[in-house]
Amino acid sequence: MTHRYLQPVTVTLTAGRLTAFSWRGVHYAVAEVLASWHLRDRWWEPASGEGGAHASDRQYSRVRTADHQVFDLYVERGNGQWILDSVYD
Amino acid sequence: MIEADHHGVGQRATDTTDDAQASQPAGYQQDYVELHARSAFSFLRAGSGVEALVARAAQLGMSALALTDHMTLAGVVRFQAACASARIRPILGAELAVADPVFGAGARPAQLVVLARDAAGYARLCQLLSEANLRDPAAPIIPWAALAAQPEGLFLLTGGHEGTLVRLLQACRRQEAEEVAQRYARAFGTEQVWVELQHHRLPESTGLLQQLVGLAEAVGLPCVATNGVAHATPEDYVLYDLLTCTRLRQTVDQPHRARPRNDEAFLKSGAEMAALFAGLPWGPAALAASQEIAAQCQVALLQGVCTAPRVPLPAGQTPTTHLRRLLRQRLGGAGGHESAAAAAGARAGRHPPAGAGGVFSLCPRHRPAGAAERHPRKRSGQCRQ
Repeated sequence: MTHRYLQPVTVTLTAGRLTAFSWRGVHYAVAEVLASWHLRDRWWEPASGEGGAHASDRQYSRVRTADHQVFDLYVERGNGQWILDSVYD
Repeated sequence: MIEADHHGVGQRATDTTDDAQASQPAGYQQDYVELHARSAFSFLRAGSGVEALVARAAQLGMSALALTDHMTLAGVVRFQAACASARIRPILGAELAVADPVFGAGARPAQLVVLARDAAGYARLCQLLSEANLRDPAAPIIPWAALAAQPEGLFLLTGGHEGTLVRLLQACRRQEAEEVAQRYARAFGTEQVWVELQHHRLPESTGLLQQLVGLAEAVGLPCVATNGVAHATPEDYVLYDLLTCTRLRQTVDQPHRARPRNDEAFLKSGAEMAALFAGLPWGPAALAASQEIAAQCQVALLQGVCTAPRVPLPAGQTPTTHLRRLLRQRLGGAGGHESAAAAAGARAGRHPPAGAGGVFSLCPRHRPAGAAERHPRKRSGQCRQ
């Protein structure tokens, strides 16, 4: 089962690789990056705005943490924000 | 390494994989040649012109580049001229829309890439495209049997996401995919077929590549990496997506499976491709195969002399007299009006040179504005028939 959160997270990168992140005050060490992908959409919309659709250019990473949970996170290229997208049970 | 985000929401990373890749010099790794690239001659299927593609390849330090427009070779002269200026070796080919029997009659055609290895292969490719366009100018398709009938001088690449193998694998029809790959090998020979690996950084990319490699190993075919290029730079993605929507006759707000999901189909350097395939055990071999294939493709059209296509003539007719007769028939009725024919002839390019009427009658009216200045054969070449 997948749960979507779309909440900001704090990340740690080492030599360009995602090695850890913090979410809701909990620190997660990344054991493995299972997959990564890139999605770009709605280039005709403003890059950001209050509600509604807006342009996105996202680098996704699916990671397995040291405690064997799987998360999807992405970084928005335009502003560098990291967002936790989904958690898999 | 982290720093606070300017917006106070989330965190901004100071070091990303993309930043690290971007710090590598252009042309860092040069043992990669792009063998699958469409230009604007692939009408509404690409976001850059041939000159932009060649300029980008030169910037990246590529030694060669293939032009594989969709169902046409119309761009090859300009491509070769641009390559000559940039000192890049041109490789000629096309992305073919092939009716594969595995999908049944009426199914949408699969896309295969064919590269001309020599002059005979190039001639065969011209013939296949001409026949397909004559059969159905609006939606030309090449039957698989026609492609397989004379494979001499051609290399076959199995195509990207619209290739038969990928479509079958995505439909969980692995056994049929294997049978199709075996059919390719029987028709072209195992030395002339490569399973094409494209990594557009989509969610399904890695899994699909692993399936393709497994398939290739099962049937004894080698793999080659390409990027299925549709635009020269990431910035050209917007135009490519817009043109795709135009081709699909829809607005940008409407989703469609044929639309690009990111801007990764740009012309990438060897270093960028190596980074994409890093960690995949068969990646280096697939990248190196691109150069091996490129080294075997030796077709040069611009040798200072342009040979016009031969048009079958009725007995006793010269190209000029035949052209006049056709103009009378089409424009002036059966009896014809000499004045109408003469006027049409004048509009069509004045009086054609002796021996080349069939060619020069139509070309001037259809040549894009400014093409004469860019067209090398108009400056330095001469035509004969």
